[in-house]
Amino acid sequence: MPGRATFPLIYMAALLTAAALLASLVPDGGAVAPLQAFPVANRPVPDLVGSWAGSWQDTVYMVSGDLSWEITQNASDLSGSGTIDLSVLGLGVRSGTAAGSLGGGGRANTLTFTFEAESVGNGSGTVVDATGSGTGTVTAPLSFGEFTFTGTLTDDEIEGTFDFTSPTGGAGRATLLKDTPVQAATWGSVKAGYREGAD
Amino acid sequence: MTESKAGLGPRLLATAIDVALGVAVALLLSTTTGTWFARRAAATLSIGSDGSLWRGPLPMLFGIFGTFLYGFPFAALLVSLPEGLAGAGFGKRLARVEVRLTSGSQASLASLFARWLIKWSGFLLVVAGLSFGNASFLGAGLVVAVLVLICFLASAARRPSLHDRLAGTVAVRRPAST
Repeated sequence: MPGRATFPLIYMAALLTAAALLASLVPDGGAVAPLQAFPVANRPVPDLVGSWAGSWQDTVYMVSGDLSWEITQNASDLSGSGTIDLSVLGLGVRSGTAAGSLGGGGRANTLTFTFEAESVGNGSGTVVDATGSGTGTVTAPLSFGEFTFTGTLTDDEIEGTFDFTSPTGGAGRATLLKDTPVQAATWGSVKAGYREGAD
Repeated sequence: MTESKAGLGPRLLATAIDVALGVAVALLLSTTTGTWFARRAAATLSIGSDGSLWRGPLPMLFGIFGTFLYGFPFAALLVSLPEGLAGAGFGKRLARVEVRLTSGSQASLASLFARWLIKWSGFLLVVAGLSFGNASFLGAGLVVAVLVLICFLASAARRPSLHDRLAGTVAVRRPAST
């Protein structure tokens, strides 16, 4: 039996070895399985170009914040920038970016995308037809804070749910509405439009 | 006798080393025991149910990193165990601090283990509370852990800590040669 002086060293080496061995033997419990591709649909992905504003709400811990996104399109490539309000968690308002690619060019029926928020996390997903899903992770050591999300999209509304894979992780929903710009018009053009409608 | 009572500096150094090791072990165990303790926390605290009081920003952050945070007390107990068996854990060994009886003689296993039980009673209650799904144990454990920490910081500079006084022990500085 080792003496008292060497026991802590031998014990610590054995403990770290055993813990590392366990970590390598057990599959990553929090890992999110890659998503399977959706069956090919015929409807095009909704028009996502524009300004979006909304909120997220964790319904497990009853915590919420705002969301906003500005999405632009260049041929089949979409790009976006936005913010997520995490003030309630003491993390302030974080900015983020997103990039996507429409399958087949133009208004195709698939969209693959990635997103990243500053010091918060990142993720990726796929939209087929008007349904999207994907996975993401909170930026942290190892595999903490992974989550999955699903959602439905229209030309003016994105609605979805998120679910952290940790047994104690939260879950909730997010909703974004497209800001419709007020159109400039003269009184004459309004009257002309009314006449055309009445004819 | 060549040993003298260990000052606050070496004892804090030993604690810092052990905390770092506890973090490392908790990270390594996050997919095994950490996940189990996180599941037990979800059940014990009724996380996600309508009547749960464990809501708000702090519980949410705890929840996201739950496999690490809820598993940390168990990892800390594993790291600290040699102190209860041999009078010095890894941190104390590196900081050349050792637990002895107040008379200066080597402490018996019973004295060392009693001291360890008192010092870690908070985390022991937390682990028991999570393991058996008892929220009262869990709450009491957190309160005790904070009290033990306060007693350590309040008295460590000049007097023996609470767990040393109750166990009749004292942390001494070993000479560099041993």
